[in-house]
Amino acid sequence: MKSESLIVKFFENTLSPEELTEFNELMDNNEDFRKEVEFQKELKEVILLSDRENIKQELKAIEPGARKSKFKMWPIAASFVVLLGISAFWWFSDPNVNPEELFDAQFEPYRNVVQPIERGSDTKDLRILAFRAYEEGNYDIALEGFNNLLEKYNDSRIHFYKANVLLQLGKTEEAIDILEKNMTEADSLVEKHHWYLALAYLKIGEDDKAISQLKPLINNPNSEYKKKEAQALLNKIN
Amino acid sequence: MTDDSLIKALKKDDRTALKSLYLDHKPAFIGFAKRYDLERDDILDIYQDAIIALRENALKGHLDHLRSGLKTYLFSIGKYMIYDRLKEKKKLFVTDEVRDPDDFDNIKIISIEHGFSDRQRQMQKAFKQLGAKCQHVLTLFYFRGFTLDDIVTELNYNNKDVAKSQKARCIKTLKQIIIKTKQ
Repeated sequence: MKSESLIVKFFENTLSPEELTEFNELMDNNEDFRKEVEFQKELKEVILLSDRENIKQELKAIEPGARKSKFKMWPIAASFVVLLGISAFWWFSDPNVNPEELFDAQFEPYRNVVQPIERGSDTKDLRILAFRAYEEGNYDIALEGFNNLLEKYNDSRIHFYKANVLLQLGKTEEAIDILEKNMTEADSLVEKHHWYLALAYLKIGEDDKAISQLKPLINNPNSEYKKKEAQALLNKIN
Repeated sequence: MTDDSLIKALKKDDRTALKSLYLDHKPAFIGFAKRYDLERDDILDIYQDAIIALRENALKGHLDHLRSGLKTYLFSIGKYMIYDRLKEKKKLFVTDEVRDPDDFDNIKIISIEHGFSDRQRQMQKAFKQLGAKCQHVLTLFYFRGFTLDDIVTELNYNNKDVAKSQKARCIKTLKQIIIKTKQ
């Protein structure tokens, strides 16, 4: 009962500092508790994404074009195809594109979905300190924080964020090492691992390996995560 | 509608208000975005995302003490998203100024993702099979940021325990549906 209340308060953002400590201890030491929290976090994300999907549909539906007959749309569609063709030609034939630039254009550290951060709150909690540094872009401090955490707990999510920090710091090979090993452990983050591995391989010029990470994203019928971006990137590499 | 009453309507998830906001500023936004090297499809896509981000900010109460006008706020979000899109298309270089020093409202949500992972799609399918009441309670709690006490008020429950056990039941059912579809 007690742990259920803690989870409710966690999502309400109403945990007291003492309760937060208790919450984090349970997260680290109680597998069932952690799984329950992970499940509800995923549910939260799913409801958010579903809501976005719905609103997007509603907004698209009020566009005048949405109700016009297909016939009238043809000239517009045709001109788009031409435009796309032109820009694609310009884009794909750009001789100045190098792997480094491709990486820079696509890479941004994965957002923090592990630890909610209250601004300005004073804390000694290692997890909060590490993720706060991560969110604020203080990657050296974040790296130190994640290393400290990993000494105590072998948590696949922390490994993933550490890899993100390493990518940000230009330590690409180290990041690849972690992502490759961590892939099978991090169930709910598999797609994200593929994406960041692809970018990392791209950066060090291992195009074939990058492609083999992009394909699972493109060919996955059940996931839209970075699908468009992966396809665009694949086209550029080829 | 004044900005204040519009924000109140958005916080109540009033879709009609959202759509009129969308239509009211669309021509001006498209005009504004034309100066960038983007296709019309991209501009519309960005504008829709900016509206979605604005709505999420409103729902979270980030617009309660808005200092700029709603339109300025919307355009600021849109501008960040345009820069992001240009960056994605490699039409913007890092030397270009991305943060606008004139934006005095600290915007919390300025970019949004749409992609579902495999597992999330499965969970979404299961979620849609829940009854309307369960979907509503879970949406209030996990998306709208309602506390259990807020839910008691919103849905006229007798007390917090009712809300708590209702929510727990819905999660249990959701898990059962997921397990069933896996078999």
